[in-house]
Amino acid sequence: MSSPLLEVRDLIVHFYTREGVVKALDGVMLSVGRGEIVSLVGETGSGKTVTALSIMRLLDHNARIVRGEVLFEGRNLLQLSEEEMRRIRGREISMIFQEPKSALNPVLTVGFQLREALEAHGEEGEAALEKVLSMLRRVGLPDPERLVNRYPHELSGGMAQRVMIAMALLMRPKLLIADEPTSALDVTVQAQILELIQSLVREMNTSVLFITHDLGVAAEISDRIAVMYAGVVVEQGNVYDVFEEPLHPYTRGLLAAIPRPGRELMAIEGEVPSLLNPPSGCRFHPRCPAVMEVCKRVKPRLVEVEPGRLVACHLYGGE
Amino acid sequence: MARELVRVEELRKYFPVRGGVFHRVVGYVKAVDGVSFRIEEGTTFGLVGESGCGKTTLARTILRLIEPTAGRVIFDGVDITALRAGELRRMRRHMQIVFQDPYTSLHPRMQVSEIVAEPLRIHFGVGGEEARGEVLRVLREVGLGEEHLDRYPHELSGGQRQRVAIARALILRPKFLVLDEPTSALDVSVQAKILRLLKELQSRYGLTYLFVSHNILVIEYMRDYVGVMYLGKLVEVAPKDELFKNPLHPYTMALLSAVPIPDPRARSRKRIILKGEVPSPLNPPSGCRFHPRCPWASEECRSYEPELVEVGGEHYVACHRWEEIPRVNTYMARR
Repeated sequence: MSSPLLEVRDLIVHFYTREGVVKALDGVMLSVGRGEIVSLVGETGSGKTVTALSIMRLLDHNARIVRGEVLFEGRNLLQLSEEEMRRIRGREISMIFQEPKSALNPVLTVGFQLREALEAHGEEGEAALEKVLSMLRRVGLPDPERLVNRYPHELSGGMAQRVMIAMALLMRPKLLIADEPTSALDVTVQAQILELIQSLVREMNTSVLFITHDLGVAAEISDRIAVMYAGVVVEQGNVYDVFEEPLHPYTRGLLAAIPRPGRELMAIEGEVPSLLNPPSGCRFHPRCPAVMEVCKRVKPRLVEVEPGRLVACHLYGGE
Repeated sequence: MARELVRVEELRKYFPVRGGVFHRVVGYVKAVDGVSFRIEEGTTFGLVGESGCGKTTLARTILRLIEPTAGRVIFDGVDITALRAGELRRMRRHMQIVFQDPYTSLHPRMQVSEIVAEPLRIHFGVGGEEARGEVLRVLREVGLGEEHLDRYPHELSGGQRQRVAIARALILRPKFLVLDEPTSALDVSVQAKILRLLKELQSRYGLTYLFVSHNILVIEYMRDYVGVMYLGKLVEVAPKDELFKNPLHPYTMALLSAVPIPDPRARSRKRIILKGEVPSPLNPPSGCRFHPRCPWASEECRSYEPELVEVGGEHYVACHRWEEIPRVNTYMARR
């Protein structure tokens, strides 16, 4: 197997706050292959967005990357200069967000913002405008010649997200990081946007790291999924394997907590821990129904139990 | 059949829209535009729809937290739309509401004990030690305890706050609870706990619920009856199993098929992907409001608004062409 497009290795990120040090990421391991859609799923505060922002090097000032590597085509992004990083953002890796309207500048027209994105990478004039119009057409926006003169507040949520997708894919990036791009949309519009993202990235052979709290969305869109809990990737694998035979007790709990026709609804005991003072050993141990003595002391490593199937749990070895 | 507790008849809520130099009324947002349904005692009526369909306005208008423009709400045999303020207040102890956002629906400077006791103070003038016993009883019902009495909302998790809101709603031992997206701000593992709790409370006290949600999987879990709303109107109402097995309105079909299913094997199911987005309720489309997005719309649909009619077995649908439209096998019906 060739090396993955993106590989996050043992990433540890801390935030320095007034209350203390938030140990947000605790050794995140993650990979995205070429042309692959990988979903990063987890509940609020699990570290999904922090992982994405670390990859883009867009973390807030109070964050510190304590350890780890973010290898993109073999290069460690964490060691690049800000200037080098700027050339990667947008051109090689781009990102879309949950609230497309807050990501767009409210006082500039759609067309201006899209052309500006191209100009930042040296493309100007008629050719740039043509490229913008054709991209807007590709994301399914009718009448792009008029649309370029409109302002973000004139767009519906679904249209604004299409504009964001057009902007993100303008430079044909190798990797698209999509952070809950459909979570603010209604289900019928969400279905449209998911279908659009899927068909576009397949066509352009773009890889996607798709961040979502919705396991339904992850099941619909991904090739592989990685499950995060309290700053750790606890399980990673092919989407069919993870949904049909979840290995980690947290993944099992999470799947059983989604209401589904004809199934009993189960809850996970306890609450998500504070990352100011995370539990020792395995961070899930206080809530785990299968907890053992070792779980309280030793943090389990993410081990490959079958080719491509990884889990961080003492039930499956890993010291 | 069980006794009817709530009956909603042709309920309407129009919000005036003002504009121009003289700030005159230039139009109306018809948030709720002629809605009728009934809820039997001890059952849940799930109201599902996308943002802007009017489900929250409908829920609040039923309790007269928002005054209706027209129509009636009969609660336990009493027309509450005709009640005067004092009478309405007495009626309120039987009908309570839990809101979506437990971060804003609880007073930040009040302790849990005060928040939960407040309805007792307002309705019966009961406070202090007398109230404390009752507060503790109801807190235990919702899975909280003595240790939470003196806490402030910011010291609680989202799930705990929603439990406090439920305790506040239950302390007067109401018959009817409106649950307005009670779990939409919560993570799934917390949502699961709250949903289970609500079901448990319902069977223990024979509570009647109006459960409003945009999440059809949550509505499915809460069961009994389901009403599907689109642009201020109910387009389909049916017993839960019937609705999920045999949806008749094209909007219901699209809604059911658009729900992301946490099972990658379900990807192969036939889906209806609608075009466009929900139009503005300020200027709803002519005829059937769904017609611009409907794959089966005909001339008749553009000109005449369909009525909600019973098509058998407590199944109601508002569609001119429901008999001709091909049926879809939704994932929801698969067991």
